[in-house]
Amino acid sequence: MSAPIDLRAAARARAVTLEGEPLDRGQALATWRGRMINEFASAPVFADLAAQLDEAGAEPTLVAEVRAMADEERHHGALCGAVVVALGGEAVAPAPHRERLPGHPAVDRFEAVTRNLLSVCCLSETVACALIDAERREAPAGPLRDVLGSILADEVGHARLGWRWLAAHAERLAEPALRARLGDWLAVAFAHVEAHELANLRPGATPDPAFGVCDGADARGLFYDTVEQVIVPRLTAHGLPAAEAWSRRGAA
Amino acid sequence: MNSITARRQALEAVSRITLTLGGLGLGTLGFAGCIEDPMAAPEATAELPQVDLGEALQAAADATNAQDDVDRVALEDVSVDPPDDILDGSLPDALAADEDPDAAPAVDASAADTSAPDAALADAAGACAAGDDWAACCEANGWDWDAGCMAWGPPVPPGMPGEPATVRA
Repeated sequence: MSAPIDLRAAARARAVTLEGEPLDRGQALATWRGRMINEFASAPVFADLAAQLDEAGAEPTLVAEVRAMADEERHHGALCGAVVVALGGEAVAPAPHRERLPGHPAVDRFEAVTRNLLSVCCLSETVACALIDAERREAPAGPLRDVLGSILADEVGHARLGWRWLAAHAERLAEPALRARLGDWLAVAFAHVEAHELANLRPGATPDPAFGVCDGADARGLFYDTVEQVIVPRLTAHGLPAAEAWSRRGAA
Repeated sequence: MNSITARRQALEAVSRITLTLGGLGLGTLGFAGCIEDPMAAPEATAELPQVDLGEALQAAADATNAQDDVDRVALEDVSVDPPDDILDGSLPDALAADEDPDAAPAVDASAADTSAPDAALADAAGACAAGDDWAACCEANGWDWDAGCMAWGPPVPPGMPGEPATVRA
């Protein structure tokens, strides 16, 4: 049995005051509570990534930096919880079951952590940057936009971790067999991120940019644009067979 | 700002953050504090603080070449457009089910009764806190993990099919 996510004290410490009435308070509450859960519950992903980077021989400063990202995710959870409170809710929720980061024991430690960095940073967090930034740009000036900007600032760092890793290890990643294997991995990772985003970006809600409720159909479109116009080309520029991986993700 | 403009600008911004000019030494922590414009492109000098000019120029040239590659690839048709049934939401449950065939069917948030979500949650939290199986209890109380547009925190990556599924200790 997992302890619930209880961010009531942390949310009070980050009090947010919202003006006006959301179009659908229940919908806004569900959205921000979901974000609170997703952000807070993702902290172990970065804690595990830090440990895997350490095992792969990464510099201690980088390991510490990634460990701090786990704290950032918990802080984001508290910020989202503050919005929940501002909307009249309670910053408490059941903790979802989360698997630990896969260790990929069949490959060496560098390839294992590269797989996870590709999935977490180059795919998921890069998509998150696009989604949050679009929402921030649509939101009117005010506390909610500030919350989005604060979260986005950290998410940019999380996304760039993966892209920096690829740039820093370009020579090693030039090995053809490794590139091919990472291409196979990317097909799996693309299928996974697509399923995750489609499950979380659901058309049908009434968009309310002033209260952080996005248009699910628009967000899905932005997801595909981000993958096809940014992520796939950039991974390809790093020498990875990303276009092929994206096209065969359905068979992965 | 309308949604189309916001999406276009967000796409341009996210393209900039994926462009790396340097190694792993600097960038993230300092950059993360830039709240005014967190999507601004990082300064090359911030990424390459301790290299000589020749290395910096080479890095810039490499980056330019990489950008050229990106532009070239971006013009290619890397995929068919997502079908309308994905964009309008009529397909997602089937795709979500592929991720976890044992999962219960997802609930469409737009159709859910959200008239008193916090009261329901409070009840669930109160009832479940003393229970033996939190997850089962919450499921019984109708907690919907997938409601809303909240795809932020990164999900745990999958294991590689066909390989041992050992996770980190």
